[in-house]
Amino acid sequence: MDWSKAKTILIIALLLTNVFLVLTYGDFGKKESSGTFDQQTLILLLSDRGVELATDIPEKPKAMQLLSVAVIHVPEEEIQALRAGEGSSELFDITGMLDDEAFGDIKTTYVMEAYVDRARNFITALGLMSDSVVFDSVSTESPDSGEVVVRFETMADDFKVEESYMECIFSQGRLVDFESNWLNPAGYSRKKVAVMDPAVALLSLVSDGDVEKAEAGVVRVDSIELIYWLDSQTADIEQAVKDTAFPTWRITYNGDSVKYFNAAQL
Amino acid sequence: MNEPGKKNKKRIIETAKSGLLVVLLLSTILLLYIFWENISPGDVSISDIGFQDETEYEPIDAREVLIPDRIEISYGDGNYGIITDGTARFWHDTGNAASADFVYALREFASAENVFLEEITKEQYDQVMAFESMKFVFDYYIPFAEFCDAYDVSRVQGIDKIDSMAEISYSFGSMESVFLYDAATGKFYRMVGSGEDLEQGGFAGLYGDIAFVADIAYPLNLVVGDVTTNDTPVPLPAVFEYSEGSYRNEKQTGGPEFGEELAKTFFGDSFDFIRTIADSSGNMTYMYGYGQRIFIASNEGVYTYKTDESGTEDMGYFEALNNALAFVAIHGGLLNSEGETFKICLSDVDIKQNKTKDYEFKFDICNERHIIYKDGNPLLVQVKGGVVTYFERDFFAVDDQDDQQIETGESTAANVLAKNLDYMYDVLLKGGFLAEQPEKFAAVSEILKDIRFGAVRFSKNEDGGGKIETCWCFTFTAGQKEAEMYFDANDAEPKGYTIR
Repeated sequence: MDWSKAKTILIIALLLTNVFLVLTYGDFGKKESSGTFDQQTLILLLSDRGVELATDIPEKPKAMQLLSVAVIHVPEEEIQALRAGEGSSELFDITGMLDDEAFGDIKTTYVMEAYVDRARNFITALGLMSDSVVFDSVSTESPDSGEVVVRFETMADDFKVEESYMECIFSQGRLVDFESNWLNPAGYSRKKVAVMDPAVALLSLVSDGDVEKAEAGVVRVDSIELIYWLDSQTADIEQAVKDTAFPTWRITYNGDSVKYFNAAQL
Repeated sequence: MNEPGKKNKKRIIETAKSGLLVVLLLSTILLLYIFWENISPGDVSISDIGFQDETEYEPIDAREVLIPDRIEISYGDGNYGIITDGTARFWHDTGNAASADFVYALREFASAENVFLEEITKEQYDQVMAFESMKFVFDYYIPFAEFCDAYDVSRVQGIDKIDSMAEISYSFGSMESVFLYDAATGKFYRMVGSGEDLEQGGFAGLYGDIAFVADIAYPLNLVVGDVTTNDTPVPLPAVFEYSEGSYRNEKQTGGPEFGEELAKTFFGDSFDFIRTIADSSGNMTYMYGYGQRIFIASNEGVYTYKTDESGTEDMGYFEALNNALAFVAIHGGLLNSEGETFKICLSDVDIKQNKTKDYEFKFDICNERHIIYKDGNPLLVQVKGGVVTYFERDFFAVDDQDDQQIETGESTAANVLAKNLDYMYDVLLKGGFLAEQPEKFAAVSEILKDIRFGAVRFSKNEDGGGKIETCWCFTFTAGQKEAEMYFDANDAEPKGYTIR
């Protein structure tokens, strides 16, 4: 037997097998479109059942890991101590940077950036700044009120962690309060779980008895988004310091109504 | 000159090919593993890929945990005896089937021809027990026909007349009979055999063994006089084994890793996909799906599993008990977090007839001594429709223990009763066990069910550990309620109570 030739054949065979495996099953973070139905069929199907789709059906990853989150409770004393600390005004307030009239003008880019910068400083001082902290919005009830809220949210592996936020509240350019429900990503599950097709989540919405139809007699789906979510209905998470967030389809319908559907196919 | 150089080059190429072949083979295995298990490549560890040892479980036989709560002896001359610890070896020695134990003797007895069962009166039962006799008393009911099948005892004629047994006895006053008491119905029975050779049979020898080691005891109505008709045996040992020590809970000794390892036994392959919640008190909750299966590892070292997925199978008593024990064996077994093996005994059984027969089995720890828990249970398993729906484990590890023999002296059960009568009366009154009445002694004595020296595991302190100490234990009952009071073995002072 020609061992040399046999080895060469085996090397080629194994090389091809590996390439096949990687190309067929490799994830590479790529997303795939809904596989259960094509978009038109789904729209027709939903329409028959009184659901109007006002959004595109998103792509989804093949599989996702579960997300372990640390529930961060920031004690009020820590917030006050930071505010009262030496040099805190320069770090956390915008009073020295802008004129008093500009405090409510958050539509101006440099004003908005000044607020975000100061809020970031405060979060860094709290020791909570990380890659997961993502700026969400700067808002004010009215420019005259002088009260501005800078909000940050959590992102993990490009997915939003639902109901996780930090808000720095400014009044007349001074940081006066901090509110949070911060879920800090602390790790991922070892194994990945297959992700449910968004079409299945939409069809589940149809069969959900709690979903009320809008005035026109239809359920209007405004958005569907894949997020990480902690289900507070199945477990008491009031006292939790660590929890596991699951991939979840978040469907917004009829304006501001929201339904969550666990996307992890166990 | 050219040939050796060419050969050398060829050898290098062949070696490189072999190396490449090995690398490719390993990478194929790795890729197959990653894609098959859906693991993130960063989380792969070499130990995961190898062959994993199949965990072996030590099975627990139902017959090993069905142990009489006590053995009462009548010497036939107005003297009595009692054994409360170590009753198993006289009942059924699973390790040595040929030794003289009650089940062995019963098996021989029932295997004779024409053995039949008939109902008798309480008076007849009491009369015959006044002779030299031994009575094996259980704290729960055991279906008698199922018992016979499980212990390989022949079913005798008329066995259908009796549902369950709580006592099984033998008396020299009627040597051809074995007596039974069905506490569920309050009826008494006797199994009548041929009587031939019974004097030389297993019962006689066993009686001698028990009579030799039993502690002296007298019926309560004999000790305290005519104030009560209650004949509960009162042990009056001259000396007793006293022990005092401390324990730590399994979270303290095994750490959170112990709870996690135990949790893995409940979720198996799906452990990677369960929700894990840690709370500020140190409790861990492991949840599958929408809470269909939940395992809680409390900071106090109590481990609880529950599921809402009950079955539909109508199981018999022994089948359900074996099911519960198999579940215990698979989920942590009888090893504590320090690796010590406990022996368990069934301490209570609650049966409810719903759509199916549902069982709740409670177990105590019975190593050399029966450990009485002031709070909770070492093991509790519920079986609904053939499926274990609830499991609770509260084991411990002994930290230190000091054993000594103490002379009873003034610390007799009668003195404990006399000294603490007001205390007992007040506790029982508050607990709704009795109504206010002038004759406290009579009232308290009437509902006294059991007196014994017992090793009591007291409640956990703030650190999660506690004390285990031998005490006088007085148990009172009223309907379904039970009050257990503990008194210092040296000075008879009250050490607390529990109401169940």
